[in-house]
Amino acid sequence: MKKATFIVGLLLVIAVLAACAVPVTPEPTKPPAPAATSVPAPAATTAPQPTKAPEATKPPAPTAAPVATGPKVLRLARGTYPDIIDPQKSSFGIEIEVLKLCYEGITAIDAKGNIGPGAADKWTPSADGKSMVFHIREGLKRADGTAMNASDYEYALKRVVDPRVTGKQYADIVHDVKGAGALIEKEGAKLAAADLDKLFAGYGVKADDAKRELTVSFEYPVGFWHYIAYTWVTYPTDKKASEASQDAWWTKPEGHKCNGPYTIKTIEEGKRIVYEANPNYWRGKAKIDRIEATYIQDEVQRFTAYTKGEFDEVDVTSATLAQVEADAKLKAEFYRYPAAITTMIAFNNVIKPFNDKNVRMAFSQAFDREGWIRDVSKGIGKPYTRWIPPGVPGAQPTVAGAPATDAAKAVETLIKNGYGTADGKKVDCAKLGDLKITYAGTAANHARFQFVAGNFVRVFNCPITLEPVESTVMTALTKDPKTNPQISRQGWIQDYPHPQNWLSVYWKCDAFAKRYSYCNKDLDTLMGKADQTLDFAAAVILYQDAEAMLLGDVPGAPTNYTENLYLLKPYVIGPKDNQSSSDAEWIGEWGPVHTYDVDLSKVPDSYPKK
Amino acid sequence: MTEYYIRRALFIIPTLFLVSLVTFIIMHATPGGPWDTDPGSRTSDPRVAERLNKAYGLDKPLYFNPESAQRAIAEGKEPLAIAQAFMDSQFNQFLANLAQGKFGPSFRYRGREVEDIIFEAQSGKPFWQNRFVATAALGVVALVIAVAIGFPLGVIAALKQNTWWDTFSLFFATVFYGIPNFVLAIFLILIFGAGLGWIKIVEIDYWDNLRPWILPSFVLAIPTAAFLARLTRSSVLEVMRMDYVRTARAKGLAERVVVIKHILKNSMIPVVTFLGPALAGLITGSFIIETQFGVTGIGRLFVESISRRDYSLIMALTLIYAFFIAFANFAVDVIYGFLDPRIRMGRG
Repeated sequence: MKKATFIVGLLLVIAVLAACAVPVTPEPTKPPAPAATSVPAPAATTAPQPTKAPEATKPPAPTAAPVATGPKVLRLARGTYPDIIDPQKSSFGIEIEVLKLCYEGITAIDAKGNIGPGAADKWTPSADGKSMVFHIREGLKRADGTAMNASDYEYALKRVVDPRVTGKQYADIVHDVKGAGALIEKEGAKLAAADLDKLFAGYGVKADDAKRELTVSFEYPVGFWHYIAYTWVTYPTDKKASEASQDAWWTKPEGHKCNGPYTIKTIEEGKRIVYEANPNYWRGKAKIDRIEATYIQDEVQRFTAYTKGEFDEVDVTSATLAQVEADAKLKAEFYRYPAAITTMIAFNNVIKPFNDKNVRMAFSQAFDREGWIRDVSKGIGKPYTRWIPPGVPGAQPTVAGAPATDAAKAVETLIKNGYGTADGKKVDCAKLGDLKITYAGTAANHARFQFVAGNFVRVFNCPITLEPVESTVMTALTKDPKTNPQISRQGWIQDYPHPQNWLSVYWKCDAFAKRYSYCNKDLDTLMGKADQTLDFAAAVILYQDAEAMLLGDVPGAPTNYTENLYLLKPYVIGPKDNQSSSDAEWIGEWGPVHTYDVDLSKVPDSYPKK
Repeated sequence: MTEYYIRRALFIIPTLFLVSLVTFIIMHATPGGPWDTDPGSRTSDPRVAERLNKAYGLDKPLYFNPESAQRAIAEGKEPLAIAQAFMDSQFNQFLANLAQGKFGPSFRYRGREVEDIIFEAQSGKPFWQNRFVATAALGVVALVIAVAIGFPLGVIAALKQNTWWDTFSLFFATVFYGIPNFVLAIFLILIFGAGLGWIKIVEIDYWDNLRPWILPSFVLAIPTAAFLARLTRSSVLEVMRMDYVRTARAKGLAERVVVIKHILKNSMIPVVTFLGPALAGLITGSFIIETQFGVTGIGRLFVESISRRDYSLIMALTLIYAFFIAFANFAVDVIYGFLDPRIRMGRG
């Protein structure tokens, strides 16, 4: 008894002492390297032209009331439930999908990737490209009727860099804004009010509600910021709601004061989010009264529920594709189109033998892209040797990219460049050294990487080690240039349909390229020049040159772009006509959602009656 | 007697401390971290992890902070402040939060406290409609079903040994203990959902009606019922061969009295021993059943928190699980005393 009492007492003392422990404020860290898009400019090459402001769109005439009775409901079968539904903290497609229905940014992008008016009806870049003025449209309201102005967007753009708002994953997207870097780097630090005010005073976002103008100033000329102005980080989080509960405001539907096509009616965490048409949406009230997104992790269960009429839309995966293609009714409801996701076999550019560009070229030639799509991806995706996928401005899908698949040439490339045997007939594996592929050891990945290893072994006749690791470990290894695998499979999911997002954000020396120890200063300069070119057409040409330079270096071997595959009930009108490569979550996600409709005369008995 | 129970109950505290320490050590020894998401997901900026580590205190040492203590000494601070600086570590921060009844912030659901994720009801719903209650309710119902099926089946099989009852019990136990419950779940969804159309493939409204609960609780109960049937049968058979049962019969007691008073009561001890941890296991959730039937409970959360390295959530759910195991064992000890007074006299 005494011993037990002593142990319990000791633990209580430790607990009390620990409870009293005051966390010591960590030392401020050194400012990091500049952001991906922050290379100071050589002077802008093209004379800056004020962007012709798009015409303010007139709100459409009120929609005629539906003839059929009952609500119009779109029931989406979704997979993983979003972790965070906070515009300034979210980063995953499953999170952005929710935000996109509820909010609208300063600008908007349509299904074809065209930039157009959003909350701002027009915008004007300064002559030197160092600032952009957005005019917020008259009469803009939130769903609850609250009037909106430039200061609502100023608040969003301040919140995304606010050091007091912790857990942000995409703050760096506004790194080009004057003073943003200094604020972002202080995240979580306890700053005196005066210091914080000073940092915000130097921040290049200013609202003038009297003129309904939001001015964004940059560190250097920036030609693409109207694309950033579309992104979810600019969505107008309600100041009152978020300041009442800075961290958890988004967990309750009432926290979301939506200004997009829909408003959030209920949030059932882990299960379902229900949206209702926003009566105050500036483009007009949506024709579909309610959208129900139900989250089911099992892909086959989602699919079966769709076939039983429990959902109107579902994704198709490799597990269900064969069933869809074998069923005439399902095939008629099936849509497949390119997705803005490119994957590559990535090489660590400083680990032998991949420090030699010729070896990287040979491995690009050795990779059987057709076989990969046919045997591993089960027909989903298309072979691709370029980086920017089809559908993105500047993409050149018909132009040759990285060295294309040709097994004989692959061997020849290695032999010609000193990796052949003395007789020059085959590859000398000893000269090539040890080869190792590291991957996240999921069941699906074992098959994928056995294919990759088998492919290279077949071509070069040299052994390759397969190293499966846990998914989380794989990401940790990949992130650190010191542990980045010799060979791995990587990819990029588009944030916004602009070549800058595919090139500068990923391939600048201090950006993701750093992970693979790839750095080409000339490429950096070219991308920096393109970023600062205010004329879009001229910028696209520079980005295309940059992509050509990148592919010439072969830092990785692009293998394919993926595809969007969805089933949609025939009585749902609109999404199938607005397919976009950006549709990461459901068909028509990026289209004019407020115009989508349901033909109630064609719905089955299982369709909701209320 | 009371002293024994108090001592036994207090022993739960060091048990939980040890569980949390071991979990903490293993958790941090495992490679990867909370910001290392699925490689297939959107790639975050390389500088993000560093900032998040700082904001969430993951840049602090794991157990003790001698550097911070040295700084405090150099700054001429009071001994208490130096001790506090020394204790300013991740594990002590966890203990500090725990002492205040908190589990700390979730790393996955950034901005949310772990206790809110587990115990907070959905917006606009009564307080009890939360993840923990969903899982616990499913577990309790499953246990009731398991006992209602497994116990009588085991008793009847033993009392009617070598009859078709016994064969049926053995068949039931072998088949349903062997079939993984996720296979059973798919099978039942296909029959009752896709085939007969009696249930929806995807049930959502768990709190609004009872129908959605039937299949998941049944699937969760079946393996436990199967094991319980086997355990009860062998326990009853063993007791039936005891001298005191023969004596009771020889004294001319009615068979019903012999069975209820002498056989069943004495054969309950191994059954109760099993039911304690079984209850703890059932009410802390099943990842597979919750995922397949769309139950928003803590079983699913537990597995996801491990793969996502959500340290606070792992610690909280491990502690909850450990608490229920420890409490169930304590309850079993108490029940032993009622079933067999000789055990009540024992010293722990």
